[in-house]
Amino acid sequence: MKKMLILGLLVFSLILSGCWDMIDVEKVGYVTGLVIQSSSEKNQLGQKDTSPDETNPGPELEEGEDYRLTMQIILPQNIAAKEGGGGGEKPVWVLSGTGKTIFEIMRGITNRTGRPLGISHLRTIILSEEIARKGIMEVMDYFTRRYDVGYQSDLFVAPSGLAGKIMEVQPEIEKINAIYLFDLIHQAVKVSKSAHIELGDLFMNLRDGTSFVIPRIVPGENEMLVAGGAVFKKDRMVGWLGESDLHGYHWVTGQMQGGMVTVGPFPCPDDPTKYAVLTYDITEAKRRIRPHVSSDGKVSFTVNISTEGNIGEIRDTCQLDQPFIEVAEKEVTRAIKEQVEHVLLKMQQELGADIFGFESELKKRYPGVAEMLDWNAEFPNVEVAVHVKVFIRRIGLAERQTPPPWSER
Amino acid sequence: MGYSLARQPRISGWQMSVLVFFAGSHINIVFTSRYLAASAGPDSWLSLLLGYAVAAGLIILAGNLSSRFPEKTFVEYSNTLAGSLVGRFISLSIALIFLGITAMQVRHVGHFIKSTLLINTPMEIVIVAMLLAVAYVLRHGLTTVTRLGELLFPIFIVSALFMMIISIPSLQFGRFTPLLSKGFLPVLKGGLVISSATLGYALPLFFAAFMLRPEESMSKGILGIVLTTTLTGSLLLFPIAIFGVAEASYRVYPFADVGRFIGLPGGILERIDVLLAFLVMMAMFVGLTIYFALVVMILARILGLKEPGLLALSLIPVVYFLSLRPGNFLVVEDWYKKLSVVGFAWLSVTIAFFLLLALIRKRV
Repeated sequence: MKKMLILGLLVFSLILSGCWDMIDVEKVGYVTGLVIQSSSEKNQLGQKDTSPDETNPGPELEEGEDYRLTMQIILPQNIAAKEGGGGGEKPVWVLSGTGKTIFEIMRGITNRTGRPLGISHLRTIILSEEIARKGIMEVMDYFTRRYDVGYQSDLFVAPSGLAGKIMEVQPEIEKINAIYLFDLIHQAVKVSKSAHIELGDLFMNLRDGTSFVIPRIVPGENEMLVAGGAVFKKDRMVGWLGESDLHGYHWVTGQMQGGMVTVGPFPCPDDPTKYAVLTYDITEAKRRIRPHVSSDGKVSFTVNISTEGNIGEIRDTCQLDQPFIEVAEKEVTRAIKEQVEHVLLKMQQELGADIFGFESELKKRYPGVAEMLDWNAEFPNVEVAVHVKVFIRRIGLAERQTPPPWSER
Repeated sequence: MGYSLARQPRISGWQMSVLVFFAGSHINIVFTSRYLAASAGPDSWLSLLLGYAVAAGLIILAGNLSSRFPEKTFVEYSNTLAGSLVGRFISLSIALIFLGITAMQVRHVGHFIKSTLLINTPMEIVIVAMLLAVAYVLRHGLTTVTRLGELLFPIFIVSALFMMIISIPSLQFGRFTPLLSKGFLPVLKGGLVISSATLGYALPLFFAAFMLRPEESMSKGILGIVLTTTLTGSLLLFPIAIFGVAEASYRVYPFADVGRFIGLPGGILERIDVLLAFLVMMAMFVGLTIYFALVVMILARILGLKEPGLLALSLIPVVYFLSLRPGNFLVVEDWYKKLSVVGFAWLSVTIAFFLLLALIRKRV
């Protein structure tokens, strides 16, 4: 028995002495950001692209059907040197390649890095407008099959011709611009200036075939701007939404996390000769969408929005009393309604994309009706009634703005 | 040494419940959501209730049958009821079906670990390591299997509850509407998926003779199914509630992907998927051990072996080669599905047939 035990230990020591999956983190090239473009788009880096596998080229794809992938690989040793106060080396390495599939390009790039690429720390994926307009379902296949992709990666779309510049931008506040973008989007979402979509949510939207919005990213010299968003119908981009449109979108989808509405000038209730400008600081927002089907089968929706907030700032010297609050609430109500109706009209008449989830609400409540309808044909003509309730709860830490003695007003 | 898958071990009522729970959970946790979503769509929860209700019904019948032959194992009373030849044939066929299911489960475990955790490790090593661990547990008898289940059950509960709690913000119960929009057929299909995956109802049939109180096999078996329905059933519905029907039926391991989707505030515990993999591995290991124990026990009885430890060891290469027989994952899935359905149908027919025979013999 002892012999068997010793033999067993020897065999196990041979099998279990090492691990096939041991990864030395210093020997992995961690990708933090990816830009996916069509191969016909210009390589902004001035580098030689990694070519597709020439030993097995297969049938050629049409011009521009290949992908161009630009990635940012983190260099931990340079980050450590920078934090320690020494060295002026770049903390990231930007590489680019082209190929028929993302997988092929990634593997091709490892021939240049000398290290395997790890995407478990991937923070941002930027799609070029060209790729977005062609359809992104195929592009995303690589990410759905990978075991190490975090579903919290953020997605962006860059306007035509600008995607290649994003990895070149060197922001002042954060040296790794993929992380800068990550911070940027989370800040923009807090004030509802941008849409926000993570990889996991994108997979769901693509599979469900629903319309959705991916935030827009515009690169500058040493900064980037996240504002507005690209509207997708199924998997193709069909147009852009501006910042104010996004406000309307957030109200209807219930994603309003904060932000403001500025109204006025409007006449003061106590003195119509005076006018006030007010910024309403949103602290809470709720919405409810109710579908209706009339006896003749006509579909319509009611969107009930209710919001609470504070007075962020007032210009001019109106009497700050209950009548003023009521007038201000009405003004904010009107402004929100305008924002919502504007984006509704744009989606219905211009882009024909139901980014608000009306169809899914109809499916939940009237599955039989939804089944019979061609929603693409129905959506542009569907009636939507918008009801808004605004409650100003707090006025800040100051009362009425009274003119100081030195003022001549 | 306690080589005893034979008569000596004694299983308590609670241990029986835990065994039924793990036998109904095992590897199914990771992918059954996909089958369920694909078959029943938004009515998955109805399928789940139906499937477990059928399993509970079978437990009642199996418990009733076993209680008529206290102190006798299934192989013994099948000989009494149907004659030596037919009885042995039925027992052997059940053992072989379970052997096939065990082999496909082993391959599933290997594939899951290879695809999500140990990417560069050869699958053969994963499978051999798992089988050796299972054989080691079995070599020390059924008591060890039951104690293993009993030991891991609270850990499983705590991990599962933690996972459920952190998933709550991502749940969208609207995913389960509209109700019965495509009639009752999808619900039946989904119910079959659940029933065939929950072979735990077979345990009172085979393990009742080893219980301290064999008369409890039915009630404790039902308790096990109730635990499976509430815990495993909820875990199976979570991926559908989070991803939706379309995405859940597209993903190979929807349950494991939940870990990659949900995040804790402040980014603490970034790799929740590892916690889920731990949860799954526990269920897989105990489930595999139970299935292997069933096969060994039935075969040992048929062959008249008093010490089935050696049989357990000698079955390892058989299971190993069977598990590697399918060329790819799609074939594994196909075989596993078919074997599970055949197992479900064959066991249901056997239980009904034997119960009928028992009633007739009693009258005669």
